[in-house]
Amino acid sequence: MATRKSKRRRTSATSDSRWRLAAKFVLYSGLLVTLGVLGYLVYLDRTVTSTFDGRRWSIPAQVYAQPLELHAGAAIDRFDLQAELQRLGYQADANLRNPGTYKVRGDALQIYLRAFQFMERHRPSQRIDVRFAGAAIEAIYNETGEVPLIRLDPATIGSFFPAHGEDRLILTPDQVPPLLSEGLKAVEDRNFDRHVGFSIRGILRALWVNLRSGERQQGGSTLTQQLVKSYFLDNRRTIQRKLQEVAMAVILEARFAKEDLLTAYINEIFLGQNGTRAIHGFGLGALFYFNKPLSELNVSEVATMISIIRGPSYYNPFRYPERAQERRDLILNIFHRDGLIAAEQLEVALQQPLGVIASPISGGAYYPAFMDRVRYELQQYYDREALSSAGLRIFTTIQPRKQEAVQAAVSITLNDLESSRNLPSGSLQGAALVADSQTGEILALVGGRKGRVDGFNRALSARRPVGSLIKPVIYLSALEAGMHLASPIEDSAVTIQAKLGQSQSGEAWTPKNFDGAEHGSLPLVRALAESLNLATVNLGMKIGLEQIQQRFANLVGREPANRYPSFLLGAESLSPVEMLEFYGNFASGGFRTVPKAVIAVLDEQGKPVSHHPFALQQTIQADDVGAINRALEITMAKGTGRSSPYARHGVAGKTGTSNDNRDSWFAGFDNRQVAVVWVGRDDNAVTGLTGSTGALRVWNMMAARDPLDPLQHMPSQQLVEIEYLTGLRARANCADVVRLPMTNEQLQRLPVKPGCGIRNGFGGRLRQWLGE
Amino acid sequence: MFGRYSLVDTVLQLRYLYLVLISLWLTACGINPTPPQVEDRTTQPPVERAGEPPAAEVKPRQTTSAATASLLAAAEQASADNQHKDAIAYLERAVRIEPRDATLWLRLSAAYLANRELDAAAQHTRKAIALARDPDLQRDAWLQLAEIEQARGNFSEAQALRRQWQAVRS
Repeated sequence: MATRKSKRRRTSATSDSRWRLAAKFVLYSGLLVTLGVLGYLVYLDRTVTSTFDGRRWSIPAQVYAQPLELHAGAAIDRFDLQAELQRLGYQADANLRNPGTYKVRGDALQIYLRAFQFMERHRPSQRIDVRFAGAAIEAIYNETGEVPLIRLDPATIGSFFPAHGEDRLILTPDQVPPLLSEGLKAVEDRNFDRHVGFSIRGILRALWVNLRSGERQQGGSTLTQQLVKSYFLDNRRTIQRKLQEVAMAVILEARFAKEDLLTAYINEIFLGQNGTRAIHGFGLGALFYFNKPLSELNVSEVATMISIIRGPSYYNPFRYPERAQERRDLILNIFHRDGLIAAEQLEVALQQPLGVIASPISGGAYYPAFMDRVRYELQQYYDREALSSAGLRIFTTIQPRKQEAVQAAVSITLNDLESSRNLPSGSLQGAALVADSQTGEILALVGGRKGRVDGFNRALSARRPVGSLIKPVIYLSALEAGMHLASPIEDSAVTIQAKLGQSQSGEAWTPKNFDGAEHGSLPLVRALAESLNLATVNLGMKIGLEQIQQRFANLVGREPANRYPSFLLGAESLSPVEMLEFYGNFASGGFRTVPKAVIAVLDEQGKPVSHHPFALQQTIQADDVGAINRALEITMAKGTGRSSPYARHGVAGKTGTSNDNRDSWFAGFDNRQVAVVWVGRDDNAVTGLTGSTGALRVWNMMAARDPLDPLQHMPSQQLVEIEYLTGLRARANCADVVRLPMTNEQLQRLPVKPGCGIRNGFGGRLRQWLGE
Repeated sequence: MFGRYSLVDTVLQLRYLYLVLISLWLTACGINPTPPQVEDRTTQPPVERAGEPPAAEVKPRQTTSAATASLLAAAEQASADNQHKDAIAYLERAVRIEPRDATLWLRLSAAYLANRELDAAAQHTRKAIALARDPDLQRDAWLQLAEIEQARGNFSEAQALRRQWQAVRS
């Protein structure tokens, strides 16, 4: 700007025009600023409105575990059922007053079940009486009489929400207890129902208090301002930020009803941190602190939750119970002062302990590894947007009790292995899956040693060489080519020449047995049970690699990557979940069942959106799968699985070890479940573990925690006693025998062990006698 | 799908065996050969398991007839109302409780057939056949497969299955 002196020196005309120019400048820049401010306000309005609407209606998909089915005969005792109820947040209550409570009466358990919208129907809340007989349920009664079948409500195991580990349980206005909304206003914002988004008096009072004490004591923020802060702003306290906050609050107030704002606040406010998972909103907060739904909180618990808002870490009731209780009592008194609770209620509430659950969301089911699979399956049907905002309800196959047991088996066994074998602590990793063998539904999925850590999921993503776990497909192909389990095969040195174009490296391939020895002629069943490499390669080359690989592709739904004979010894990489699919063919009795985690998806109103039924395809003829399963049962009883304490409990299984002991595998099944375990290192270094010293030990612990159901056999098959070492027909009094399924035709051609009192060619002569 | 030995063969072979056993018993003194070591798999546990008391507690086997019966009834109602998807959901719930009950799988197959999902119907019937121990149930399952083949337009296969299984008396 020019100075006055310089202006005077110039002509008046010039001076005049300059003044005009200056005035114009001021006018226009004023206009510009106003426009700018208006534009900014429009921008703020758009941002704040769209965010509010988006957040308000974006209800993340809720994911549920499989509910526990209760019926006469169900194998669960009173203590296990009680533990299951506690996991679901049911509270002991001698009067059984509200849904979500239970009571022990003698040997029976009385439960006030919560209402729940299941897939097929809504189950109203009701009281049931469960009687036990030993380790099983004897009968269940409700008000109307005996109930054949009823289920607990399923555990919520997670939800899908966009990015940054943020997670909410959205409540609608009618789901908010009146004490909470009134209490919030009384404590946090007394003028909420009247103000326009901010309160001059509040700000001035806060300013005054803060100035006088020299530090920040009071926020002076309205609920609306707190909501805005939670949406958009970080915690920096500058004037601009404060102004922006006030502007946004005013816009929100102008645009939306008070009730909507309050509900949004209740769904949004930050209430604490659980590891990497931020706890937002009272719905999730109630689960986190009290392990029960918001509607079941009592007066004291509502006050405790409100007390946390002021400072989730300062008033953390787990870490600073005295502080938290002091503030809770203050809030209870405000409740009473404002007439929200009666004097008697105040008395009772003040006497109550804080009542927060010692280990937050302990059984509260958060299984990131399983959730990966759920997400993977849903990706095929829903986009990210729908999953994180449409309020879908997803029913899954996981059984939390089993999941916890399998996770513990992995974690504990790996610790044991490291300390007993002097391996570096934390060097081993593991994965395990358990599925229902008939339906393919995944009951437990462990992706690493630490179940709650959302990291690399080895069960789904670690593709590792499978070693001997591949072998059943070779023996299956042999049976399908007309051999049987007692057919002889040579366990002798074999060299496969490069000139056949069958070697990966271009050199001759000379496989070895694990013990370095050759065992001569022996029956197929023994070659498989003892996992003899030479016999397997000889057999594989006899049947034909191409045919075996074709069979493998049928069973797992993809072509093998390794086209060379080393495939026969498991130089083929599969992930544990693919391995589960492979063994599912045998465990199910000859059906390919793709492992699955999702049962059904419902919309917000409980209407079915999609149903994911059992998918199965017969892949193996009954007699052949029966024979392979028999051989795998003998593998456990007499072969590489025999170190297991459960080897003779009617289970079938196979161990596997990749080159130089890098990967330790086990796959096994009983009558009901199929399981796969992998143990190894993330850097693929040598562990020194074989299938039976590593993965099988994990499985042993799984079996110890989850009783086995011995395999049943096909009724159509006859079993014949065969000498295990030689494959000759024999009897138990003259040889070490196994019983193998055999057709008459095969039986007649089978050589007999001398000295067993069985006459050769009996069948042939009998046929002759019958005139055939 | 059925490979080299059909179930008819197996059944016939078993009959043949019984015949053999009976004749052996009748003529025991006459020929005196050693009878083959043959047994029905369902009646005796395999030798490896014998004599080894389980180390772990084996929980009682589930007996759930009343529980699954209630779901079967619900499924019947749903089918009667033409709500086949609901019927399938009820039956799958029943299968989760008793996964080796062939009756449930066969009923599930019927629900798929009613819903004109013929591939699923066929696979569920095959599952029922694989699990069925009762000859009547097995025959019913084969005849249901004939019905599914018929619906698929495979008339000659349907015909052959019927001819084979209608003859098997209950």
